[in-house]
Amino acid sequence: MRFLLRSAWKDLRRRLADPVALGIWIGLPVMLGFLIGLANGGGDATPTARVLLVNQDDSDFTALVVGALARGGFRDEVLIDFEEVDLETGEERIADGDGTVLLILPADFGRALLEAEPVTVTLITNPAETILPAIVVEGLEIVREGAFYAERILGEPLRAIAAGPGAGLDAFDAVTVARIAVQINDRVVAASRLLDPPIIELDLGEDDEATAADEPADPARTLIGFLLPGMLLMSLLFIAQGMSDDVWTEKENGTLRRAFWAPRPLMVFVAGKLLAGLAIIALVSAIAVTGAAFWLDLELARVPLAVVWCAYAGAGLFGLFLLVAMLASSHRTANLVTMMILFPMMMIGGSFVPLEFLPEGMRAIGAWTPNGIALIQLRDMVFGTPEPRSFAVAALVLAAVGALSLWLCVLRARRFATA
Amino acid sequence: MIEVHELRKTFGDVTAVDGVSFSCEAGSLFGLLGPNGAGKSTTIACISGLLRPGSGRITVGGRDIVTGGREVRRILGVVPQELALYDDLNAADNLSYWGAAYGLRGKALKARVDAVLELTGLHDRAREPVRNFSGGMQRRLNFGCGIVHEPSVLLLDEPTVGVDPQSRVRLLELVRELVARGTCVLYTTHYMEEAQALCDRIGIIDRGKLLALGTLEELRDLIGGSDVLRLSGRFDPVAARSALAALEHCEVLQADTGSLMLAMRDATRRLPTIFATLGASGAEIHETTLNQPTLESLFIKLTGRELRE
Repeated sequence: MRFLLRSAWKDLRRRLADPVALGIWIGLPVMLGFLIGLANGGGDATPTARVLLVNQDDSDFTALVVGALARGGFRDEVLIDFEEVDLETGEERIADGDGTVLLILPADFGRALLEAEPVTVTLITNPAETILPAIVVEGLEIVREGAFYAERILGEPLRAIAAGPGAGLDAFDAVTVARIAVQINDRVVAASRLLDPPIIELDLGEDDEATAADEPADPARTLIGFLLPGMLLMSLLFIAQGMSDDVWTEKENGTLRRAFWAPRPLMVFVAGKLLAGLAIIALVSAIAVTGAAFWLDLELARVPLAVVWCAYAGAGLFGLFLLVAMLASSHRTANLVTMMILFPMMMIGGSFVPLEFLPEGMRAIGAWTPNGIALIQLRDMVFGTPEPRSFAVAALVLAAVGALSLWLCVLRARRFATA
Repeated sequence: MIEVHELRKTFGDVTAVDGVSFSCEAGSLFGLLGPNGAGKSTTIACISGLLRPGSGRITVGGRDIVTGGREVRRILGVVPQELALYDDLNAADNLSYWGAAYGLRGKALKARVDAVLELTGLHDRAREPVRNFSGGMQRRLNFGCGIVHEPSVLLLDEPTVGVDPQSRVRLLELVRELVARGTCVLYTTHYMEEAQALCDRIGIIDRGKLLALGTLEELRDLIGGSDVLRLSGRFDPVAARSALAALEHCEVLQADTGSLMLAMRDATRRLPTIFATLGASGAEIHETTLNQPTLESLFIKLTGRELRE
């Protein structure tokens, strides 16, 4: 035990001897948070996606749809602003990065929608943005679904309206209006049982007006709120990957061989490295989580548990990267392979793009990556309360990853040291 | 303290060590002399447990190196050919860490670290990061890390390679001091002078085989007091061998079209005869070098090659 602590202290002192690297690790989450926040228009502002809409269809129906879309956002967390533009302007602006997506409705859009015929809508995304275009695409998917069901339910009366009053008439006659109205009413009533389930309202007895005006934005629903846990996990992944490289440095320095010649088991040597890594991860997490708590005005009481969780998850990730590095045949291969693992883990584990914004299949996979598991619980710890059962499962999975990695590292250590 | 019996180690088709046997007692220094790639480091790696012997048996302090485990490691010290230091830590921290790795603690560890710093002449620079040290100082610290736990058996794998003359002298003094205190030292080198100056017994190794073994005097006797005469010029190797065969106490060690190497007694006095004999065989001599009998002469006699080739 004494030598384990001594080994950990030795590795910590080596890290402290390189303050620049340590500073980069500590600054990583802060820098990532700042950059991402900056790139998306500021920290706690509700993010807004700007959709440039080109309507090439002059039908009344399409004009109605466009008008409905332009009225406002359709997600709670992210506002989507529609701005109608002509094609040339739209293409120029999206090429200049001025806009989130360019949506082009073709000439026969309204007719095709009413006749339930296939129609191609063109959507050009801004490559400089990652999250907001994904939100818009997801939102438009919902609109597309809605349009399909609307056509199923109200297709006939809508087609009658779109067909107009008939040749030579300026307006619908009273009988037709009544017939269409009755049709719409019947169908809405029939669908209302499905569309409007009973709602239980809870009156908290507060002054709604005052509350709405004074209540600060829920930090969990701001862009930084979405990105913060992912950014923290991203920096933990970078730290774990970076520190795993040290085992190759020790091998190349010959100190690993010297450790092999000593009577202590190599496991103590490897475990010391893990312990030192854990201390550094805890330090970085403490700084990052405390900073985030002040920034987002979170309860400070949430900080200790989140830090412990980060250190716990970080140690598991470090063990995993250490194993991968030790399995590699050379230092260069180790760097390459750990990087090849690092980036997909960040991509699908919710660090680059929040898990909530990933396609369903990827989200399911990402939620079971070690960093994804850690991220979900971290988010609950920072912004809410972790569900005990899922927390226990996450803790067990990470413990299993860490323990299995350490065990395999120990099995590999002799061969690694002597090869 | 070290017994090596019929050690054999192969890497694929390459036999690095081929049936090597020797022993080294407490308070003595055994030198393994051979050129680069002769099998010296592989032998040390097997004795230190870094490599498993292909066959044969190695005991250190009476315990088998393969099954002896921690007990063997506790009494063994290794100074590897390459540096094995934390260059981001200082000298005292390096010594302290490796001392602790061998079970030293508290005052005993501190006292030992101070003693080794004194021995290696690094006391004044003890708190300075190792990366600031010169190559010679790093070598001395590397040596210190191998002896900080006062091993009774010490393996030194070419510890003076790349060391400045001053540090080299200091390192050799340290080795002598350790032997005088009763340490069993196995010393590998390709510097003939070091082996001659330091070792009680010497094994000459080449291409994995131990070619000769004994004290310096015993090895000199093997060459029979002959001088080694090297001639360069233009030769017909077959004609030269045939012409020289007629001379008494003259052995052709190596012959090719550009050079000849002969072992012979009293070579200085017999030079005119040699020149005349070779001249008659059609040889053209451009340069002559005469060496007194040394370990290098023996190595050349045994292998037909120079030690540093």
